[in-house]
Amino acid sequence: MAKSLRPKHEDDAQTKVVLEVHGVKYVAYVDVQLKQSILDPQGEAVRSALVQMGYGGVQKVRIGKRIRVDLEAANEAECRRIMDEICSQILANPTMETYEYEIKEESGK
Amino acid sequence: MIQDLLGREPNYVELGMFSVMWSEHCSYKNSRAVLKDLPTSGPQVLQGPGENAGIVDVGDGLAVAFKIESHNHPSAVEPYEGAATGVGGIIRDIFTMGARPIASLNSLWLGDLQSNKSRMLFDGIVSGISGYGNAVGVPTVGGQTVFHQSYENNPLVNAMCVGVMRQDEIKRSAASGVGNSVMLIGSTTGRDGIHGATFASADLTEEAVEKKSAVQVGDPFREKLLLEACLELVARGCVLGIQDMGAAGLTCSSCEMAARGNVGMVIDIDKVPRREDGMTPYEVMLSESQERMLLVPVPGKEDEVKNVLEKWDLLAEEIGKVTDDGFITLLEGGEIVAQVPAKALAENAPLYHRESVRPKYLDEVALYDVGALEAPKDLGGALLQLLGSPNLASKKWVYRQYDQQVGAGTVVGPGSDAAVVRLPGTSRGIALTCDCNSRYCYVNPRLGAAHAVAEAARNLACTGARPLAATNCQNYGNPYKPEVFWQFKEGIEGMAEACIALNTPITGGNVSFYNEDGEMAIRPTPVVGMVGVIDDVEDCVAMGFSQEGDVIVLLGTTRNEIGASEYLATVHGVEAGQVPELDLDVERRLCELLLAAADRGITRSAHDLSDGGLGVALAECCIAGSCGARVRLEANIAPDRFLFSESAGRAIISVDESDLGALLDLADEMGVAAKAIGEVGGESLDITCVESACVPAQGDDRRAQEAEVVIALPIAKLAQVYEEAIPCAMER
Amino acid sequence: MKFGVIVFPGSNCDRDCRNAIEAVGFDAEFIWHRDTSVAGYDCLVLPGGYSYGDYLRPGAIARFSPVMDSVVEYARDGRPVIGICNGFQILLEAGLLPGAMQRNVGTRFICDRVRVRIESTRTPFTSGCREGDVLTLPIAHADGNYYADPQTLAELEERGQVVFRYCNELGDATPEANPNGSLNNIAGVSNEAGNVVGMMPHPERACEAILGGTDGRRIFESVAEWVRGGVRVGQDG
Repeated sequence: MAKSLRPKHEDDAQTKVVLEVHGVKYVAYVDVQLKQSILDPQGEAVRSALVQMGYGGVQKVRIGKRIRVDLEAANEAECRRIMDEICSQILANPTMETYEYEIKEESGK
Repeated sequence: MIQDLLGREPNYVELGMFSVMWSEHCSYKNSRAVLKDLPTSGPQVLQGPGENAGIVDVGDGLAVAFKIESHNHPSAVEPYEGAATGVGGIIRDIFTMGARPIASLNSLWLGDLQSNKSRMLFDGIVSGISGYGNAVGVPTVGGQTVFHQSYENNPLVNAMCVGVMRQDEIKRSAASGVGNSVMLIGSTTGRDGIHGATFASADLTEEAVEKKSAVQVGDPFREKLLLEACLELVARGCVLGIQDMGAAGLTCSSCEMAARGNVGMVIDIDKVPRREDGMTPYEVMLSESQERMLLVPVPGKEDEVKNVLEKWDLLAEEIGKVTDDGFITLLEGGEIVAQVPAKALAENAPLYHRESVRPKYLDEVALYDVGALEAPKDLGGALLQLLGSPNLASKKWVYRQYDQQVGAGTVVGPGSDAAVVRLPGTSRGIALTCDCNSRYCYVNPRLGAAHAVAEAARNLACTGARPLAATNCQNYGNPYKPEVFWQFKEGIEGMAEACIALNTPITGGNVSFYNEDGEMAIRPTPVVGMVGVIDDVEDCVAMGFSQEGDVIVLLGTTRNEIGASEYLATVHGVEAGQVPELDLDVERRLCELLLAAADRGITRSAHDLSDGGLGVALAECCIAGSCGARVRLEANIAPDRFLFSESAGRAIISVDESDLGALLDLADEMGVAAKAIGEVGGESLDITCVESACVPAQGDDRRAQEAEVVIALPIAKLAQVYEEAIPCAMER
Repeated sequence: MKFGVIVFPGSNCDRDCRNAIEAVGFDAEFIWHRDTSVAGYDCLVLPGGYSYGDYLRPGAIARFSPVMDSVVEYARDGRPVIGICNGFQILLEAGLLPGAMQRNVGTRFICDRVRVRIESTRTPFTSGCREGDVLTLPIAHADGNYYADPQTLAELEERGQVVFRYCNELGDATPEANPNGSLNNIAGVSNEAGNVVGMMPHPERACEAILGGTDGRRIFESVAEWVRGGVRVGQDG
């Protein structure tokens, strides 16, 4: 595998977004994945390496990104609106990628 | 000893500062005494050792800054980031002198390609160099890759960088001007790589592998921004003194800048911008976070500095002032937390004279009787075996991953004797190479090191470049072992002798000790990086045969010298014997001849002979030019010896038939042996050999002995074996 | 004839573009990514490199640079815009060109010379070429694997928006000639109007014989000729 053993920016980026609005603190985790129909060369390379290492049972590997966003929003609905915008416009490329995210209030609720 | 220097006991922070500055990596305490034997001056040298990089005058008011440095231990533990940050560090050393980096080279030493571990390290290291170098936008134009089991657990990554600037733009690192600001520019400071310098100064045991946190992670994007910002600062006349932060971070840059300027500095730790919370003064001073520089701006230009850095989205913080007390004084919350004389840290590290003892293995190795060896019946097969061996095979698998052309200056890229890069704003070009044959150095450390210098000079001269100066990266095992220290000392003596004879002073470099894992030490590996200049880059000479009918001329004398050769190792499985003799005067005259011929425009192609001797060199010229050759050798030694001997001081050049006379006359004038051995043409490499004693003299009517066909191979076959070796090994 | 070469933080081939354009005989100036005016330029060039380190996705962040609003407007006016390598990636992310770039199928960075066939002479940058011409140009990228969904791909082909296709020395677009796995061997595309072109190979590295080839000159010569002719795409009459 050609990549570093340490997570590099795109594989486990921590992006903090701070809004001017004072409100509730949320933590969102976004999963960005290549659309199913698209060939994933990196995933293929990793699958192949795993099989060569003896893990014959591994059938598929797809490599995506997990992005953490810390943000403030007035309420959960507002938080979701912001996250949808950020995800569809920047964090994922809609031509090739899909995204889903989960939100938690920072206090852990 | 520290107590004497301070007049009291050092505190924890001060102890930390001494421990990194007095580590082998930073202080060269075990090598300084020996290194002073290297020649370091000459009219062409604008800056010798002692700054971040050496600088040579290349004419037309231009200066070329260059240096080679190792990043071995980090690459063994984390190959991608280790290699990447090695590249980052050396690039910074170049632009901190005010030069725009225009080329990178690297010398890589890995274990046997049969081993999984070696392949993994190889893959990771090449990816790291590629990922970082390509992103910063410096083309990687040459280098070498060598495989041998002694490097299995101790890979070597020696990264070289070359930059260009006008001579009046040279920037140095001395701080000056009491009361002047001291600014930290670039990135924030975190806990990366704390004690990276000490990590580099210890053997690589399993325990060391656990210290993975000591490996820094590089950000080539930040580095690119920093590079542009620094060059902009230089262009705007904002820079008084500047130093990059590499090993030992802020500690090293502050004490070196102060010591070189005979001044002191007071640094307010609180003002250092952090990326992590709760960092102690110790951590701030020892952090090796990448992409940071220490700057003393021209007084009055502090705001301009901040504007330039802001434009490039980087920070610029005033963190201290230059003082006249010669001390590095650290403040936190207004209190002094450490105070150490700058010179004590930077210059007064203890000087050790290590014990040196000639190793016993040398006698066994020298005794080996090469005369007893039986030659293989199929010399063509032997040639294919050599071309397909990882050390000689095409390295295209490697350099295809490097951007070789960004900067639009690369005239000759990887795969040739030397890289050629043109210099902006002039017709000149520079030629670059890095060389070392560690098998020679193992068998004869002194002669091996001298050979490295000679080979580098030959490689440059083949392209039509005059060798100017060199940088060196000394890679050895544990210097506390007398046999290892003996190898090191001998190597320096040999390198010094050759550099003096060939007029290529050493302008800087690096020493890397402790390249062993407790059981096996690497072979002595003193890598030479050399720079040469070509007056008109359009005249540079390439390696491949080009025109059907061109005459091939062998320059130099071939002797029965297969000791320590690639042929002996690969075909006969033996690494022993005597290293080929080296006559530095012959080498000098050969270089002069190559330059003179190139200058007159009669050289169609040129290639020096080294690993694998004449047979391999002919094959390489055919493959590079996609042209065959018909060669008739007259040998006074057995054919296999003639083909694969590694006698020094030789090259093959091709010239138009009409220029042959001029070339032979020139060679005669310059005292270089020269003999036409065949012509370019056809689609195969056909070599016949006849015993020279049996070649009748002119006018003798006796029949000549029939020439023996020793090689008859299609170029396509040679090329296939040559090109597939490494990709096949890596795709397993 | 004045070219404007946009410089983003991390662009590497900006100076190469300027030097190549000057070598071919025209003027070139740099436009910093924070400038909002692109007036006064006859053609805009988005050069290669690693804008924003290629972080998140190549071109994903640069597309939000202040200058891009002006670039979008300039493109809408039918004026010539070319994105080379990372520049192509930025145009894709900005939606000025259809499709997206993925990691090369071999997962590694590739620096080599390839051949591309001219598929369309409708664009300002290829108006001086003939359909079927084969150019030898350098590539140097890790993310040059062109993707578009099946419908978009079909439309591109139908509408003649494929401008360059990887091919062998005979001009055949074979799998062997495809260095990175791009769908349909696509090496460069245009927008529907034809004035915006993106290409992965580097024409600016092939404008001087000493650097190994001069096929890249045609790209810059074509657009200069086109501008001189005074034509603007998307306008009537």
